[in-house]
Amino acid sequence: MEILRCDHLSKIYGSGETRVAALDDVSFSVEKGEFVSIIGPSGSGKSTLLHILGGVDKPTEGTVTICGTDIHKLNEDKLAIFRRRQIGLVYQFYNLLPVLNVDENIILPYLLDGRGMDKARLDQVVEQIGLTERRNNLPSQLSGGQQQRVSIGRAIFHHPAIVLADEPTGNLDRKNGEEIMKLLIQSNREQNQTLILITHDESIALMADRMICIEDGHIIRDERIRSLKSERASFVGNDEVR
Amino acid sequence: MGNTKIVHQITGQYMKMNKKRTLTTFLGIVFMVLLLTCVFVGKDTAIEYMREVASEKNGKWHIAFYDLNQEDYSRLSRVDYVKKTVQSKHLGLTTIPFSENQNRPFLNIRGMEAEGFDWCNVTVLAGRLPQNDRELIVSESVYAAFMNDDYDFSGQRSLLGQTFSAQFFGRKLKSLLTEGETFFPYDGVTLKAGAVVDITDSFPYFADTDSFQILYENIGDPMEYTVVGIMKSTDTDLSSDAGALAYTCLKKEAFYLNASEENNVFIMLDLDRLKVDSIWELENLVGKQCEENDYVMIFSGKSGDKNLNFMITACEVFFLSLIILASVVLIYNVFNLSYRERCKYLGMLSSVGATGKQKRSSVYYEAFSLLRLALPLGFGLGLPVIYFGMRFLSPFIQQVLFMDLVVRQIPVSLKITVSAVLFVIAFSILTVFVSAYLPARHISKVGAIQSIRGEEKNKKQYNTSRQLGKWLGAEGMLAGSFLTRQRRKRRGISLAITVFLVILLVTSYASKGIHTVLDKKLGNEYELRLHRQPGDLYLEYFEIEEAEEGYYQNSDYQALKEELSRNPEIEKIQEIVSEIYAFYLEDSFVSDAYREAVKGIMKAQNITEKKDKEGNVVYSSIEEAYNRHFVEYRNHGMTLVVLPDEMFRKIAENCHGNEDILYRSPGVSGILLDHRSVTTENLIFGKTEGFKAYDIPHASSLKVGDSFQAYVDNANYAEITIGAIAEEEDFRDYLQVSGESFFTLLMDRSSAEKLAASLEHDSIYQFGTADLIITPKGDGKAVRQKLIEVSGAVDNLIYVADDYAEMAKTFSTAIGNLVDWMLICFVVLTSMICLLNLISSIQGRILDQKQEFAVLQSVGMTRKQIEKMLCLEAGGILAEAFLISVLLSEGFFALIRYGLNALVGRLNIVVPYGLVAGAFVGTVLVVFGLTIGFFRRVKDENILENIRNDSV
Repeated sequence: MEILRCDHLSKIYGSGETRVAALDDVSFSVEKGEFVSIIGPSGSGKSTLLHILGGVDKPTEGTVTICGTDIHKLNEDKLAIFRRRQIGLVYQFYNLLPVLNVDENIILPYLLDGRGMDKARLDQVVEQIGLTERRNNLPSQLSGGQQQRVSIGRAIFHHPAIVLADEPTGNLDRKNGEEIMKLLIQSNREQNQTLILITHDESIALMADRMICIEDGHIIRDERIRSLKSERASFVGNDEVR
Repeated sequence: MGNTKIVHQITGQYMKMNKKRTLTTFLGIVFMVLLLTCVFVGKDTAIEYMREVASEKNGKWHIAFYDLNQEDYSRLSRVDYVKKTVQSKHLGLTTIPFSENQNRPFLNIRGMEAEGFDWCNVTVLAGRLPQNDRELIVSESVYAAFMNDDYDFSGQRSLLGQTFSAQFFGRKLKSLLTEGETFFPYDGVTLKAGAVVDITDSFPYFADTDSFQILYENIGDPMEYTVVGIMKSTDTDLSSDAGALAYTCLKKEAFYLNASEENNVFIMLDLDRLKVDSIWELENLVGKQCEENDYVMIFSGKSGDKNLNFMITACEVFFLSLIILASVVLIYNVFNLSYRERCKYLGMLSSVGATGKQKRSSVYYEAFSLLRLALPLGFGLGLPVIYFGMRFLSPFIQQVLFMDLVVRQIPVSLKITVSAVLFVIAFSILTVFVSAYLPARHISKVGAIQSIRGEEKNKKQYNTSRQLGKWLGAEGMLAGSFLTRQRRKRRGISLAITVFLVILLVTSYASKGIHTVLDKKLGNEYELRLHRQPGDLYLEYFEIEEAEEGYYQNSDYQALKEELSRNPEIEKIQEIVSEIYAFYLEDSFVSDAYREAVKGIMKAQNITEKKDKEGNVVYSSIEEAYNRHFVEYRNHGMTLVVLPDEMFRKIAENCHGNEDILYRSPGVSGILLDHRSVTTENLIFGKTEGFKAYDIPHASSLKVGDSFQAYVDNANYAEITIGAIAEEEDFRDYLQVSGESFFTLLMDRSSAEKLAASLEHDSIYQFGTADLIITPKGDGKAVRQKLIEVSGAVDNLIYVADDYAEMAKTFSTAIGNLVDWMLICFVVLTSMICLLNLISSIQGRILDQKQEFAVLQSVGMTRKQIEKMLCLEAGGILAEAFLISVLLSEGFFALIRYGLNALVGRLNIVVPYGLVAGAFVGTVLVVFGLTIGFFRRVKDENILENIRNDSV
């Protein structure tokens, strides 16, 4: 089932001589439960693409359809509501609210939607990200890896249609990076969570079902990574990898 | 310890990059300097101007000694703080051939040193000042129509140049009676039958009568004088004196020609060297009391009243403190707001080896480099503010000092003294240093990594507040978290609001306090006025009982009233009969608070011992003095006011009077007004060193239903029952009572008639004064004309003109207005600092939260939800600021109350609740408006840009 579709996406910055095409006629679609990695060198347009997919940036041209909704046709408020219900965002620099503790950061999108506290789900997510002992701590009292785990917890708490992760391990050491990837893949596998991940680390990109390579705003390669399934399975430590 | 130059260079770059913040800090410092300039230069300018205006009233001299002998004069002249002296001597009375004033047919010639004409405000109306001892300038009062500013002197110019021979004379009063005596109450002269007594030159002119005659005796040889000028009548040119004032010019050598000569000496003091008890020292030196030119001395802050002097100094310190406080908070806030950005670049410097001192110096560098530019700008801007402010205030100042007199417009000129400039510079530096000290100290102590991260150490854990989220949603949870977990960041806004409110509340409370003191000090005379609607005509009829021949008799008045009541042009007539000090009350009917207040006044007036003529001790303590005055002599006065029935009923209704007592009881009853205000000015037992006042809301121990004996004299009294006790709000629509030095009893006609009968009066008119308020139909022109004609013919009937309300403005009202305007100017200027502070704090907070907003939007928070969150956050900040403001203000209120109580006495200073409510509502609107306004300006910016800017 197609959960995301983007057609002829373009993003132009500046005009005239300073015109830069961050994305140029990009089209692809993602199936539900799919784990897609987007890879490319710095300045290739991968982050721009992710942010347009997440509705935090607008394309110059083209459409993004998530769960049948052309998100850029929504007004600002509706787009925000759509985002908190259907999208989970994970940033390289975590972007947690410094005044909220772990629990509050995780549950924030859910509360923003006017829903009451789902204690059971919160306990489940906090346990999943391994921060049961730190749930009353502020982000500044956590390590980078812990903060990123909170960020993932926030992204997956409300079972969004799609989780978009922008270089989630880019700011972490190898061990923490592996932990984070484990969490994301676990969520993808166990909850059939659609996941789009941006990275410039090829080893991480290869953990996905599918890898899209971008260069100068164009998709230069879009392929399934069947041959590397075994590597990914050993990484996760579970045989039931699609 | 290292070079700070590179740090300063980087700081300079930072300032250029953060133009908005730098500009806010700069403006804050400019405002601070401007306000300090207003305080120091403004004070000097205002005092100089007020001195200038005040000197128009009585002259420029500071003190004057009268009838001083040569030895005392020499002694005084040698005192170091006696700057200059001018002598004046009384030459004598002489007849004037050209006088048109039948009540004052003589000339009272005085000789004065040339400078004295300027010192004593001799204003030339025609001609010029005298230049030698053969020339005279005569007062306009030689004409019958003097005191009229429209008087045309052109017809009298022929007097100029007239030379006449002046034969000075003395006067004696000779009784023509064979028995009894003639008493001149105003002059304290008792002329026994057949006696001859000397009278002074100030004794009024009287034509000879059957009972006495004036004897004239020539003194010395005649002198030739030429009239060279006509001058405006002065305060010393009393209308009761027999002679119109005239001056001739004398040289210094013309004084003290013989050992017995006594002259008047006007003195200009060196005010900077004057101490509290200097004037007292001078008085002791010559063993005489001096006259202080109160107007000039008070506005120089050197009045003889030490409490008033203290208040002027206290006000100066108070305003200075508030300005410094507001400025410190503003500058501190701006530095604090830029803490994160500043930390980052200082952290980087720190990581490459910058020391704490170097980091600290960056803050000072920024502060003082801004001050270097702001100081001349603020000072330069302050001068026109002072100039135009003074021009704006000048009509009030002139009104304060002259009330109904028209005076020349005195131009405002700035007075910039070296000391004022140095004070501005010193206080500016001090303020900036204090403002920058804490942020500088804080920054120097933060480590490199902590600086770069911009995070402060916080080990505290926070439980999730489910209740807040439940009640107010995610927005409430976020707002609550911002409020409780980022205290440092919101402290700036809270502080800005608190400072603004505290300044506003404390200033308005202090203003109320000053008003109360001024009202008590200056409006101390008992006055009872009726509210008069616009268009109403007012007729006052007094001395009814004592009306002699030629005066308006009661029968005439009754006939006039009857005639007016039949006049078809009159809609309504209301009559009020009153008598001030109609009764005396026994001491047992006054409250303890009042008793203590009176004793406080006695204490302030140093009442310790009094002996009678035979040397017997009358009393030897305050307690005994009180008993003598009030227990023995029942000296608690009560005024009676008989109101029209309709007015009386309305007041009775307002104060929930007992109708059975007021309308149905057979005895005499009334409504008691027992708010008393006693001061050292309206209750005089002796000389006071400092002003004291006590406000007693209920000075009697009487309750509704109680009866008391109202004594007319020692033997006669009436029994009166209290039907109601009225508060000011019960009667203020009808009556205005000020300087409440008496109890007041309101009565309706029926009770008053019963009272008159019980005291065996012919009618209620025997009580004293009757006032008629006449409401005409239409413009009432004809009625007014009739009243003017009737009242013009007799002395004890007065038509009170239409501008009565305007004329009724008291000195205290005028000075109160002046104080109000000065305080309003102060509040407006300090409010600008506070508003700037609030704008920069809120703007800084919103900019600081930009990334948080972006993250919130990225996780699905709508803009409306962010606005709601911001409003909740602002609400929380406001609540905290309000709470702190109220507590702090209450502390300041208590301090002001305590200060005034210690200084002046027990005064009832009302908290201006209306203003408080207005200030709170205004602050709420400003804070919410600025918060939402600044947030909406962030709207168009890209979420992504904000997120990318940095991690949160």
